[in-house]
Amino acid sequence: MATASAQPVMVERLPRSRSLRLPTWEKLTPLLLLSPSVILIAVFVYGFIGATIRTSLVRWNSALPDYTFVGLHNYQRLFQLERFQADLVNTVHFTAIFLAGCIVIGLGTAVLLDQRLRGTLFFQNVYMYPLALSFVVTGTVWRWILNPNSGVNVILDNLHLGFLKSGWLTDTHTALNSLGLAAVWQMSGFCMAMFLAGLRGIPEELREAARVDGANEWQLFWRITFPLLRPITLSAVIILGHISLKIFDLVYVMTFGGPGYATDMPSLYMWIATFGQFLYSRGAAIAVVLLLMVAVLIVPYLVWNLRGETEQ
Amino acid sequence: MTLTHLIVLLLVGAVAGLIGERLVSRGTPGGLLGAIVAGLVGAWLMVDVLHLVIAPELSCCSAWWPAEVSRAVGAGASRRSQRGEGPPTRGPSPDAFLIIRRVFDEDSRWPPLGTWRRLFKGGGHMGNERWSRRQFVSRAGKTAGGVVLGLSFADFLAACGTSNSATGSGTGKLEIFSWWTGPGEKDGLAEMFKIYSKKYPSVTITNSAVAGGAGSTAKAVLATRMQGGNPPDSFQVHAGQELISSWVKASKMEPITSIWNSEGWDSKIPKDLKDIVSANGDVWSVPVNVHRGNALWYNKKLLDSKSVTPPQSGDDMTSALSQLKAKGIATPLALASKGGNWQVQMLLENNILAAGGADFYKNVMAGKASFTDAKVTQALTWIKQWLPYANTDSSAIDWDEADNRLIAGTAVFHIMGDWAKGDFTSKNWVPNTDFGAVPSPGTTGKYMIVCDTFGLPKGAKDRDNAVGWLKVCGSQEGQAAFNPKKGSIPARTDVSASLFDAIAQQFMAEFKTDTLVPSSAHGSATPPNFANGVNDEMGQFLQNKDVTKTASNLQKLSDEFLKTA
Repeated sequence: MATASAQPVMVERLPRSRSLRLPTWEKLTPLLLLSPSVILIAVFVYGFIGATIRTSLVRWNSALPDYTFVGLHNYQRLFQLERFQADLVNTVHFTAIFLAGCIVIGLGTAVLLDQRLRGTLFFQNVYMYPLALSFVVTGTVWRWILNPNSGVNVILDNLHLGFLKSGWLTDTHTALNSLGLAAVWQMSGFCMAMFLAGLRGIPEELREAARVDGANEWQLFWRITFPLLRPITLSAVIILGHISLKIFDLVYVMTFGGPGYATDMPSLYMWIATFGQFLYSRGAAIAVVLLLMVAVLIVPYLVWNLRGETEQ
Repeated sequence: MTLTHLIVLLLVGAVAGLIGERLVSRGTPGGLLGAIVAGLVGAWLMVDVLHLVIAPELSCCSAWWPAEVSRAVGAGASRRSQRGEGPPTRGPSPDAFLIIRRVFDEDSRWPPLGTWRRLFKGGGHMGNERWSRRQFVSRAGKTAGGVVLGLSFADFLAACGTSNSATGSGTGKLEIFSWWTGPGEKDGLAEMFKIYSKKYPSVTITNSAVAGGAGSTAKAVLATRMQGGNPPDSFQVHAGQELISSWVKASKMEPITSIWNSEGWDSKIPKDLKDIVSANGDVWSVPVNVHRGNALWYNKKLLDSKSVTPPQSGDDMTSALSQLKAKGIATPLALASKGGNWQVQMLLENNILAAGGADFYKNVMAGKASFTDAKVTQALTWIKQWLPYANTDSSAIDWDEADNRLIAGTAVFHIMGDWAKGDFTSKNWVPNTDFGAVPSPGTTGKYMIVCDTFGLPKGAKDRDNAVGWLKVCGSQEGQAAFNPKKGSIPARTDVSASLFDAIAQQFMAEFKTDTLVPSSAHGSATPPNFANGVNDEMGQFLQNKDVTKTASNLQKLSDEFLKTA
């Protein structure tokens, strides 16, 4: 103000009229259009993440909200629980089966379908269809298939392959693998589609060049094709990885975590702790642990992605 | 669709259209009407075309989509105008959008459609102005943005509209929440609704039953509604701690003591049962029915043919099982544990009742006695002794499938609540001919209460109607109508026994004389956090069969959840 009053009147006019001008539509439009989604995401995603973290730090362990701060006590208690320890082991085990199965089968089918033989379009669709089902449907069907008294065991019996019979979902040793089987069945088609897109994107010239240099088909695959598929593989790992960490519906339908804790998952226990036992703080703590687990997977990917973009 | 709905949608259409106009800097023909129609068309585009076309190609560059959209729009519009049918449905759309489309279809003769098609088509010409591709993309993008804005308003307002109309007309409605969706229980509920409608003909009843998971899904839904301050008018809940430790403690319930007294239920409902539903000197819910949790069901013909008698104690049971196995039945005990092991928890509580008696049972479930007591280890030991005679696929079957094993003759015994009876009879098995029931081993003279009740939440929208409902629930007429269908016995002792089958009559007689104890597996004796923890422990016990470890783990749960309760 002091400087403004010191200036002569004529000089003062121009800047003020500029600063008073209303923002133009051009400038306002992007803000206007973005604001609803920004506000909604801020409240319904980040706001709720904040609320969950807060709930996990208090002593809300009944139907009555109780916001007495207890620090990390809920987490301490959680990691001491036999059930949650089993959950973490199961998650790692399941993720390993699921990722390995999807990627091996997905890559295998993609390579086969990339041979441009007759009928590839048909099989491409056949492999993709399971993806269109929800996990609930997959789970129900596979529960029937793996029922030890009626499903695949009966077929094995009729084929005189009785020694292959198994308790499937009812045996603690096979239950988690059986669960993985259903999940792989559903998601390997998705992996196949990603790899197929990747394979089609590799220019034929590169392979031609390698062939000219005397590489055999095996070397061609491992030295040319496979390295070029690395970004696709990484995307597949990220996408499948977070599905597997958060898996709930399949477990709920197929085993409900049983027998014992053999197929229990953090997400299922989160649901039971929150809505079955009214241990809201414990449920929130599990949710935060899950969030961190997914973040461990996603954040490096995002960083890698962003760096890639800035390099371009 | 209500009139308010239509008006709201038209208004939103107008707003969206006007925003769109502003953004494209060009008026639609027809002024406000044109804007409304344009807004509705935009909404339809977003809902029916864009997200379905674009979604699978998110990674694609944005320059790609105008061509695709113009094709889709052109196809959709021309098809509709040619055949006079609605736009192609490619997936389920939310209700509101169906309405938008319906409105739009009726008004398809309105002119602006062609203009809009021209806007998208080719992307080159717009009036006299020649647009660059870039300009076109940016303007089309803005229009779409405006439409999204309008759409979110539409959804929001439509949602508001619905909830307003639901809450606005308070009287004349009654919402009853339960998990009674199975055969029998559903019919029993319908019978009670009939009685209610006879007494209060002007009240419309909403049946908000939630299926699945033996009530676990329903309880989750209820928890969300109670926490969110939107309780149903009255809801099904197991008698006792399930209600008292949760919603009563959170002071979200209204005591019904005055209703209880004015209806004179003291003289009709046993005092043991009243004690279960009471806390802090008040009564909190009305018992509708009583199930018996401690029953041993057997295939009568098979048992007779093997000349074995129904066991009277835990040790009897073990020897009966081993005799049956010796006589060629590999798995004489049918065991289910699917859906969270509550069936095994019933075995445990019945055995604790058998080993320790009613007083010890009540004490241990109240945290006043220890789970490491010899009586509890005795109970666990019995289960351990029986397990070799049970099917090993218990985690894949539920109680009704275990019933099937009795019917098929692959098993002889099943320890389960008396809902098993309804299941047997529905499968054309005749009581006391094909199957029989005795109290579970060692619990003669004791009655494990599994009881469904209805309570009165604070803030019920139709409180007076809900009070009427509670009176029907506790009435002789209501219980006489409900219980034969459900397969339970009435909580009142003055309902005529002639309505019931032989086994229910036997149970009704015992209900009047036996010691009544609340079930923990079904929420009456213990709070849900304890009962759920016990479920987990029993699931573990089936695997490790370790009596000492399980007993000490149960005590840990007791320390954590029962002492503080």
